[in-house]
Amino acid sequence: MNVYVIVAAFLAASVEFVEALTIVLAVGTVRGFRPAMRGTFWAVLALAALILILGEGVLRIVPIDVLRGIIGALLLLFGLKWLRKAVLRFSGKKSLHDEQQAYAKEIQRLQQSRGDAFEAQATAFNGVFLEGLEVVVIVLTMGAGANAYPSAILGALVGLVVVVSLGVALRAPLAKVPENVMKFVVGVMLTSFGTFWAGESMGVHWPLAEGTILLLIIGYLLISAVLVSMLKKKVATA
Amino acid sequence: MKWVQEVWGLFVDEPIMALLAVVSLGIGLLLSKIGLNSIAGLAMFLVIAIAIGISVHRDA
Repeated sequence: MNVYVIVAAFLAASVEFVEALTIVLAVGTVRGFRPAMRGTFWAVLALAALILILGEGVLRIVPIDVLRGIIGALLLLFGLKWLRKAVLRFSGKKSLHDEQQAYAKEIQRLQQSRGDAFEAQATAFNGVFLEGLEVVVIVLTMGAGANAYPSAILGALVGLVVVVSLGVALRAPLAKVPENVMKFVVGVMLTSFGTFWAGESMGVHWPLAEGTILLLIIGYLLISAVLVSMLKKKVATA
Repeated sequence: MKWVQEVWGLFVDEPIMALLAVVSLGIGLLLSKIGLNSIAGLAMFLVIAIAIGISVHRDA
């Protein structure tokens, strides 16, 4: 088991599933929980199939060294996207993601549309599938890059179970989950993994072998903290 | 073509930052090939850090 991969997959999956849960709860509240759960079930099934087919297929066809290069580059781009948004959010340049607000917006949208049970099921399916797609990318890239599919799948599954359990228990959007901090951490982790694997596939010599991932995480955290502080000052003086 | 846009959007939301990230990989590859593989990682890290900096300042 690879602890880095478990943690990254768990955090990323939890964040995405919290967002998916908000949509499912909104659908359930307005149109009933039966179509909401049906849509969720089919979306989770489709995502699992995607992981199985792509994961197995890619690993069998592409040599691991080549795969690490491609995966590293994709993960770097993916992680940078998350990290950039997180820096902008924490510096006040972009509003923090608010689950309560997202829930209210979705409820309002559903109340205004006069759809049937099928539309409700489709809304839940779309929400879970689209949010889950990012989880699929993370599970596939981290699973292949570190050759640790079980760890990546375990992390994502634990995230799913935790979020669904809390959602069922509370029957409310998980507004108290520190989603913005989690997104920051995931952005840093994915960027670090991407840098490491892309570099490794190109023959870069990392001084501490796999331990360098930790150095990269610390490095990107420091850079992000400096950028947040610089941007905050800029916002304050504007 | 909508799905191509979806996939593109999954990885790129700021083209300049993405381009610089790809440039960092090119620099890493180049340095590794000419035998400077012990500083290639540091060079990659620095270019990526600059890419994040430029990208967030463009938004600010």
